Amino acid sequence: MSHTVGKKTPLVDGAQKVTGRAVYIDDIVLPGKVMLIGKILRSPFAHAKIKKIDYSKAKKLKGVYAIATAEDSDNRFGVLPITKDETAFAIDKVTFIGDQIAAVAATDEETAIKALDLIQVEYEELPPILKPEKSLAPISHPDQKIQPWSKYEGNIFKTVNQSFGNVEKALKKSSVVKNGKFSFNGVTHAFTEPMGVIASYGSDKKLTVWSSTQVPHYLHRALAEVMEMPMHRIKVIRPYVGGGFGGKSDPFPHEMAAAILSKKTGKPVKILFDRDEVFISNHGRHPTKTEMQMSATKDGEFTSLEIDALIDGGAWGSFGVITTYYNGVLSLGPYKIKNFNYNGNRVYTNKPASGAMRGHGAVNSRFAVETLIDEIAEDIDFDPCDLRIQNAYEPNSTTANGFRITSCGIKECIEKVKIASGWDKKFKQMPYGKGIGIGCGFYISGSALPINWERMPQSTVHVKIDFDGGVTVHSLAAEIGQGSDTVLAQCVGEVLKCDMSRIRIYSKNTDTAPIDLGSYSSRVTFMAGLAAKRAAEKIKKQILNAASKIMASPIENLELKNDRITELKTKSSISFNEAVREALHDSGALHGKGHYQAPNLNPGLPRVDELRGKESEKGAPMGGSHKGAAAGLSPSYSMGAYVCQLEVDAETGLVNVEKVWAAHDCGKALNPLAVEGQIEGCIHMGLGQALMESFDYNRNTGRIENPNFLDYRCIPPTMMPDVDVFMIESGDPEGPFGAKEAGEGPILPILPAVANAIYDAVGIRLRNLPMTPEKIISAIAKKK
Amino acid sequence: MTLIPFPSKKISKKIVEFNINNEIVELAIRPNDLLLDVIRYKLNLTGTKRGCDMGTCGCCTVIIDDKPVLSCLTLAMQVQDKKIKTIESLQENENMHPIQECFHTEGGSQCGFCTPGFIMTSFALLKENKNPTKEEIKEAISGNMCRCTGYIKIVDSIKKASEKIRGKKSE
Amino acid sequence: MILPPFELHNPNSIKEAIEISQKVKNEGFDYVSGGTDLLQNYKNRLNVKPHLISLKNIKETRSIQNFNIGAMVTLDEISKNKTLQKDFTGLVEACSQVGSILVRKTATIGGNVLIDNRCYFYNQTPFWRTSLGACLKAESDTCRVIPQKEYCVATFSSDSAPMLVAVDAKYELEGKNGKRIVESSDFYTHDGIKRNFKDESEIITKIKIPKTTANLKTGYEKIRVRDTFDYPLVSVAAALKIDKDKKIENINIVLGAIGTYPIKNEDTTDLFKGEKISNSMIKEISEKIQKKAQPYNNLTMPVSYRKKMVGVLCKRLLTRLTDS
Repeated sequence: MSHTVGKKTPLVDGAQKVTGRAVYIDDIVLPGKVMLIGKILRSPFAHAKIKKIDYSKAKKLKGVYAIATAEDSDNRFGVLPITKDETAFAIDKVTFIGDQIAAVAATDEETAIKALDLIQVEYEELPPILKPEKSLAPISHPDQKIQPWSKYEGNIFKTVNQSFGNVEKALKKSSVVKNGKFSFNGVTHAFTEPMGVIASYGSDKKLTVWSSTQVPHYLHRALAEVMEMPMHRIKVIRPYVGGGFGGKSDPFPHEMAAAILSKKTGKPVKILFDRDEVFISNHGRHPTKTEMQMSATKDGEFTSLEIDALIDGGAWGSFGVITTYYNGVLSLGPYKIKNFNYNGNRVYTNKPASGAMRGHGAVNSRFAVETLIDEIAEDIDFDPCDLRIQNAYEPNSTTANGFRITSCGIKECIEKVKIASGWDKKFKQMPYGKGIGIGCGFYISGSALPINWERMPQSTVHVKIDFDGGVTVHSLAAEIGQGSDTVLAQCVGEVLKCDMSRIRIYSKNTDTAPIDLGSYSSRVTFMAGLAAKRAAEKIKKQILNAASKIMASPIENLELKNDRITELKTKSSISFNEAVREALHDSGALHGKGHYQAPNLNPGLPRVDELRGKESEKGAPMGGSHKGAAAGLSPSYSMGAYVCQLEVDAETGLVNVEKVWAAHDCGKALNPLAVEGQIEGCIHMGLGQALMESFDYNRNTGRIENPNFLDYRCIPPTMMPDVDVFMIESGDPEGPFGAKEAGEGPILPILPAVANAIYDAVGIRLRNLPMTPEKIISAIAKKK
Repeated sequence: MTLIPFPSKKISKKIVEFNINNEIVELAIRPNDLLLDVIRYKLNLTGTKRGCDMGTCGCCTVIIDDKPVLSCLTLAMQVQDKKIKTIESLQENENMHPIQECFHTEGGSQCGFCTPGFIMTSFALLKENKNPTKEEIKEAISGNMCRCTGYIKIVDSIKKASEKIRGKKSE
Repeated sequence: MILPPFELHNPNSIKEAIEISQKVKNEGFDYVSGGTDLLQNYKNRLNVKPHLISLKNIKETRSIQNFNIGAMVTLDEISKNKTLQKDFTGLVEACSQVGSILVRKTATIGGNVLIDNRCYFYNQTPFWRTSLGACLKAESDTCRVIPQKEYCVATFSSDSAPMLVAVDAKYELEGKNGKRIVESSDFYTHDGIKRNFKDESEIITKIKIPKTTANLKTGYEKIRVRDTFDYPLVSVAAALKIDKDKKIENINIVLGAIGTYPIKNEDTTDLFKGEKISNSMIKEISEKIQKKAQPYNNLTMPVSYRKKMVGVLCKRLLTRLTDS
């Protein structure tokens, strides 16, 4: 029986949160009234040359300590080492409305704002490039190049062409071919805590940066590059983070600005965003236009899939290379599709950058795939659930592009929601206006290839026990509300079978934590969880050795259980503490280190090739050797199936989602409370993108139209449906205690499930998200 | 492009008394100081959060005379003679308030940033309605925004808390 | 976001408030009651005045007596008032759909009938408007909705006012020249900046609802994407009196969030007085009103949709009221 794993476990840091004692970035008070307030001057134009910046008047304002511009730093940074295209401040030209031009540090917010008013910037406006189609075209003048360094033609950021199998041949044996042009507005994370940063450059020439970030390690690296300081003189501290969803997973210019200002003033500087600045910084889901074609035989065998995606990246690269691949390759599961063509272009435009957001790169293409499947099912007269089951992968399969699928509970997921929802009595049988629909998903459990192609493990965890018997766990996996601290505590507790109250998690400080790449790509449970488990196993060995000494019995005869060690034959036992003390004698604190490195990566890539065989793993090799084979490669894949029931008001176009049955294969739910929470949260966010969330830009100027929570609409409590969650535990062979991800994959099925249910309700297929009331009633009118 | 400068006007501070969490405090504040800023920056009661600044997230909710109020849209000087209650005052002994406890154990709090606001709104609700239905709970929290939970476990938490509070009373 | 600087006055009576207003009128002032609308605008530096006269300490306008509603009664209190729930359901429906529940706990009926008109180019942050070049309603002389327009077309966004106009409610005002009572239907101008005929010194003290309202069937329907937070994208208030034979004795339909003021439709509805109400008549009325409605393109939903919804809401509301 398990000790902690699999039990509903309230978050280990939850008590702090519900009592208001958790310290977020804006709650930090430094001793003495020394902290300056930083404010950022932003570009009012989407595309313009900066002719002159005159801040002499601002500098003279009483209370202003420093003003920073590109004069102070021109070092490039970016989350992907291959596409560093950001700087702390715009150099020579601005590339979107909101681009950071200068920053002021002053005694208080009012002074800082007034100082910004006094900075004069002369611009020479350039025509903004806003339509992604336009960015595909070659440029005729260097001014038209948004990011001059890009090696692609026009304003293309990244092109991916991939082909597996033979689509042409497959089409010949297909009896049904469905295609569609889809378009997806951008959406953004809308976490409740605005980003903020405090930088403190000390007289010891060391820099401390507190930031609301998901990726302290990448921030650490970027700061080192921008500040031209060795990493060991920089410390990054992550306070409590009020939500991320991918929106805090890049190093950001405002973090650099705070560091620069602090160095200039010798004082701590805090920059806290207003809500509109959060929207301006965006890095949300890419607006995308997707053309897709899918074919099948009349017997219901999927034969081919072709995707053409035009992805609007905005002014910066961010995670864009990965996004470009994901829009294609993550459609290659959970169904057997052997013939596949993908052409993806991510382009620069003069808008705030798009980036990673929950379900990164997979959500939009998944919507298209799953709605086309329903169209195919209708054509060949198959039940949509059965058709999906028929094509679903079995465990231990390999996809057309070489993804290694190990655990695979997709069929069970579909069957579960089909039965629970009463599908057979509802589908196509409910009165006009009411409908039911299904959608599935497929997602990575962490990226097998780290962003920085190095031999450094992706996660390392230290576990320490000292005389007090307390177990401290040190990690840099970022707790952002998803419960990563709790899952690490559970992994350690499960191994040591100790009381959970012994375990304390330290995951906030780069000085004391071994490197972990951070909280993105749904990697923490799998990778940091395994590292934590391995570290604890090393400690366990030391404790058992000590117990063996005390009890004069071989380790094999000892059992660790509920804070005690029992000799199985004599049934005599000693306490956890007794064993720990014995182990500590003559040696001091016990340490255990565990790490995770993805096994046997793609052999085609030279740097990664060095990794092969370095980490002993039971896993089989994965990945092909084609270009981009590592993109989307993961040690394990999560999958899920949702059924959604809703009612469409055919006159107003308003949709009332009544109920969702959600089955997600998470391998093993280490903390069912958190897994359910992730699935429910995903449904909230996915319903938003499906029905109302939209990051709107003005077509002519590129200005965000709705940078506030009133006009950027998220689903309110009153519009959330009831949700029945089914956690399918397929038991992953490599994940910690059988677990794989549950944080991002669960967003995928809900969007197409809604669309398919709308079709069942009123017979219309919408291919543009969000499916707003006016789109719904116009489609209904058109049909009539 | 039109510069929209921050208006300049000399205004002076005034010494004002507040009754906050049953404590009388004297503070020098300005007429344009928001209650939220006074609570957070002058009194260092940082449990009350700033989310959107425009009354559309509810993270800043505090209780004023038994009513949940958006402190980001309240002038500090307008609440001098009123009783202000923040998240920090709920716990009265070594144990958390039942609402806090249920948000903790039922998964009503993930990142925790919206949590104090939700808890204060729930506190006001359960004062007024000891046994709210699911629908009444949803309605009561429809001015608060959470981006993590999808609200389901928040509703569960409040429901559970109401049971707990009623149970305790009937003992 | 910090508020710009202003002096705050906390009078204890209407009289005192008006006196203060006269002292500071040269510098400029705003009255503020709940503040949920005004302080958002102030944060965005929209038409900030150097003096703010808070009505929060004034006790005399805080009660509901029969059909006289004190201006400082909150929208939430109105939603829960038993008499109004029974005798003026339309107002309860309207007030309970304003903003979010947290707003309604603080926002007052006086503030809601005087709520600033809204426009997508106006209700934005200073940075946003800087980038745009501002608009007619705030810092510029150009309307961004219709560039040639000489007056502001910001949308009338009160939920309660259309309902009050539909029952011919009156507003009691008190100002430097004493008290006066105005018809709610004559109160609003067509200009999104000036908005109404209130003298600067005047305060709305009371909403006076005709006693005969209790004999009417009243209702309010509103389109918004979310059932909380959102301002109306279009709204319809109706007051209906039908006799035993289902003949229309009186009918008033007022549109909100379509133009710059609550739009009455007597020209259309008067034609049907004395006739027997039927589904086909409801359809006809709704179509006629929809045809006339001409929303401006300054909210977050397309004009074509909002126009269409006028008809849908009219039809639904009249059907609901007839059947009730």
